[in-house]
Amino acid sequence: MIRITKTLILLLLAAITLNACYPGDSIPIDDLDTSSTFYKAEDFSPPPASVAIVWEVVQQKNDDANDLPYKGEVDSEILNTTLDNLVNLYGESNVIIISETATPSPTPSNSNVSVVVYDENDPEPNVDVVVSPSIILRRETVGTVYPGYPWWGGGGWWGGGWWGGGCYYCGYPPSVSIQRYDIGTVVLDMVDLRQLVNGAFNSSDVPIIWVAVNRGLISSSSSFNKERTVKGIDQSFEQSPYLN
Amino acid sequence: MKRITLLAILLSGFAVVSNAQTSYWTISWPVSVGMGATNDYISATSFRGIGISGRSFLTDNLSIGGEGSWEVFNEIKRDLPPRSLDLGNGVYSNISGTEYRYLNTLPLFVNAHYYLGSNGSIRPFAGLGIGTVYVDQRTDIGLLSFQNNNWRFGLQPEIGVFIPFGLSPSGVNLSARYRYGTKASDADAISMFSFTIGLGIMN
Repeated sequence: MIRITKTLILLLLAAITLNACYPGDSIPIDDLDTSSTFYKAEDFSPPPASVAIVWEVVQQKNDDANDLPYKGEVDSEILNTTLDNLVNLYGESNVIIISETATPSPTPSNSNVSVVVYDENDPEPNVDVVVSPSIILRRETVGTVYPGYPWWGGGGWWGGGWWGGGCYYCGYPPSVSIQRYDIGTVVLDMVDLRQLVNGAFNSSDVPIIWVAVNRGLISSSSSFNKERTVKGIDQSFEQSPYLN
Repeated sequence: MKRITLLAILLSGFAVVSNAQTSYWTISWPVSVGMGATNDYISATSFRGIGISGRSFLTDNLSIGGEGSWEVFNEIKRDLPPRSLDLGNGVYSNISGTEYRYLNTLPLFVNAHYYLGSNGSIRPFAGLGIGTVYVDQRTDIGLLSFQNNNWRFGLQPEIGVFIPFGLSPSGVNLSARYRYGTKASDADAISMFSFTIGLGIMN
């Protein structure tokens, strides 16, 4: 009888000790990956019919010791997975690659897609929307990521550079944290060129009509990073059926 | 004569009361499973929890008392469809990722139970608890959290048995119970079934 009582007491003590409001052991890094997309339905009525992808992954960084070390390890996966999805959505003939050079690097996965070399005197590509990828490499990135490229200079329809300025998505509630990016996050922005009037936007805010945020794609394993990058970007497009 | 009869009845009543149990205390470990919308949210069985109750006997077969417990459910859900959020001003968001789901229930009930059997024997019982249930429901997706906490009205029918260790006042308490917590404005009703095993002291 005493033995049974002791056993019961031990079981109950174990039940108390093991309890926690939010139990959890170590969490696999890919369990923290999220794919978030943001849009306004009215911006896709009608949806775009043609698209350009800027063939460079902009590295958002401070050029100091706090930057995440990154040498473009997943650039190819970011660009080519995005390209493949855009081709699936709009067709090869309605997708162009905007490149700084005539030979884009990394090599595009689809050789049938036209490559247009950026011309600062004629910066507006003749498409409905432009998709531009970025990767967050600096800690404490707060604000709105503006796509744009150092090699595009300060002019063109992109306005004043690639960081700062207005705040198209600043209305988001903090719970979604679009204003605060985690290091290693890959961001795809879709800019609506249909809103250009005489080569300029009416508003000071660049009309970004779709944002895909793939959180935390960089770990110490290169092959794992590539796999998760492809999966995350594919998911961003899969959950956005309104894009075409 | 009537006075003598009344006195005899009263005395016999005291005699019964003096031999009857006056209280029943339990501490128990619940194993719980959600039902309905609760099961849709977390289908995994909960093995985390603790419960305490104290009852006072009004008669040899009827007690009233109170109880509190804490059950923790958790489950990891992968490959789910994206969650859709209306962010206002015409802006929508879809979020996908592995979901870590947690559900904490903390009921506080007053209860009444009816017992079969007699003092010192195995005593099956059935009862009903009524009161409030605090529910903390949280879903983590990546580093995002969606959480709501609220108090609801709750009911808990229960059947069980007290098995004494020989002539000792202590023994094993076993029970099965169903709990319902009403729907909150932004959350589904709570519905769950629990088996409990614990230590009981009836004296």
